[in-house]
Amino acid sequence: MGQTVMVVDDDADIVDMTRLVLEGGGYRVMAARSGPEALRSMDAGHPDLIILDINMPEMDGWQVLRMLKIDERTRAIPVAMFSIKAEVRDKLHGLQEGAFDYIVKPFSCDELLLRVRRIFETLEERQASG
Amino acid sequence: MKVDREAAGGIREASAEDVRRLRSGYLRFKSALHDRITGLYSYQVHVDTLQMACDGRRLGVVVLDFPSLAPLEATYGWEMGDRFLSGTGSLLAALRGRILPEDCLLALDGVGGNCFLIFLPGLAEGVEQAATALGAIATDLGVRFRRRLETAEWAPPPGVDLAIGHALVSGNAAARFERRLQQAIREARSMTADEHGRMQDARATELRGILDGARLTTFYQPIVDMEQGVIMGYEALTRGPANSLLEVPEALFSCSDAIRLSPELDALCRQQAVLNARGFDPSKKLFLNALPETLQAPGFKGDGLGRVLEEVALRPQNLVLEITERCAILDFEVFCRELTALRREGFLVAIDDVGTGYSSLQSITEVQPDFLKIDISLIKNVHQSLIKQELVHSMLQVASRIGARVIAEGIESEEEYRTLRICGVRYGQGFYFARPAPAFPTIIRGRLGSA
Repeated sequence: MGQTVMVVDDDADIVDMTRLVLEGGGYRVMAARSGPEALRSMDAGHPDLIILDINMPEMDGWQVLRMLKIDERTRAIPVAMFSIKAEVRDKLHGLQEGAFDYIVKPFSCDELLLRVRRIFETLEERQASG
Repeated sequence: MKVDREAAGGIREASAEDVRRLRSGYLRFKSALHDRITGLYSYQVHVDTLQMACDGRRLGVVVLDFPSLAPLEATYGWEMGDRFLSGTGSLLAALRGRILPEDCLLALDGVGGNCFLIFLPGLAEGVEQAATALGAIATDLGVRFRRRLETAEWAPPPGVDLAIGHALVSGNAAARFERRLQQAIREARSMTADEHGRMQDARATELRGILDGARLTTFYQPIVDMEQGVIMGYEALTRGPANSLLEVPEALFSCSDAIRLSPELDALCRQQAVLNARGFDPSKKLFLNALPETLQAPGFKGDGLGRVLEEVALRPQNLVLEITERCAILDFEVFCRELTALRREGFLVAIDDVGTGYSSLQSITEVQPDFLKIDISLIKNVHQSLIKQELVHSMLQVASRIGARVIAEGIESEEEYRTLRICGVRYGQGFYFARPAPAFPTIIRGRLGSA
């Protein structure tokens, strides 16, 4: 059974496309259209990875990331930030807030799949090395 | 619409929308008052508890502050700061029931800060006895803590200062409790500020003595060409007198900053580094640190560098000036002009601590350095972080575009070394190869050519 990836983005097209690509790659996909929706759905079950958009109305990705990292139940879930910006400072900020990777939009289908695979590989390696 | 419905229905049921808004609002407040590094809350959360606890009894507060942590973090990176603060939090929690009474309350003076508050309810009722008891606890805590700072497993950075203050919360019920509490915290914090001031004064006197007597030693750390398996150069690192408060360069410079002697100290460091390098292999490069403001001082070579170079038979071409990216460069144009002038003299230029500072990669390209040195904070555990690997990649790209060579600083493990080699980094420096030492150290055997 494949791992579960949650995609959080207010852009329906991005969510659809990500779902298509990742499901095609053998992953299960959960979607949330806003930060609060994503946080709320954590009560129901935890994904193995969260891909989180930075620019969202109401609650931006950084806020959601902080919430996830404060809560003991969700702290360990790896998060990759999703953004159109790829500035060094952005990436460093993500790192400091506890993000695991950074996916730059727009992305090609292969790229996204490759990226997600690499994240899981790195996580496994990390687990193996303790 | 809203008014109508509420007037008609009195109490209406909370809609899903309301719940959502409440939850997101609650989470936001929780996040605003909770510090996830230390696991502690900002003291405002505990005001009610404290008010009840001190009902009729004396409440005291002890403040634990680390005034030198900010500059140290600027040098060693936020990961060090996080580790230190989280270690301090656990240590305080572990001292509860030992030095600290069981019913004490730990908090922070503001989320994300480095000022710890320990509230001690149930002190003796008389002001004098209470003050004595509080002072004794603070002193005891200080002694234990300073000892821990030297031996702790969570490796506090060298040169971190601890300042302790304490105060009693006034028992005058005519004033609001919150304000009495704030007043006490202010008093205790001003005590820590005084203590820190005294430490700074002692250090300033010591620094003037060091400058007058040129009492600096130079350590050298190899920079390795990981592709060829040879040492391509050495970075000169300055040390103050051994076992003094100013042994580490960070302590030296934070002190000289405070008394505005940094340019003098900086020039002396370079001069000593060159003088101590007598017999340096001229086929290698000697990397020297330089403050941006020193470059802008009129006549950089006038600080005696030209003369000492002649004395040890080295030429500017042997030297690489490392300019840190950490501090903001105020006038970029002037800075670039200065660099151009220095390069005309033959000096090479490296941008140090890349990935930590104010400048973007874009502005780095404008400086056209010969080397980019990637900061240790990006190298530490690079094998476990995709973001760090990505950043290394973008630095390599930028470097190849401007014809600069990339050096990874602070390589400490085999995994880091291998990952950097896979990323395509050619030059490296760090404990993995060799620790800094007074003579020119060689690489630890077997640490090359295996990737």
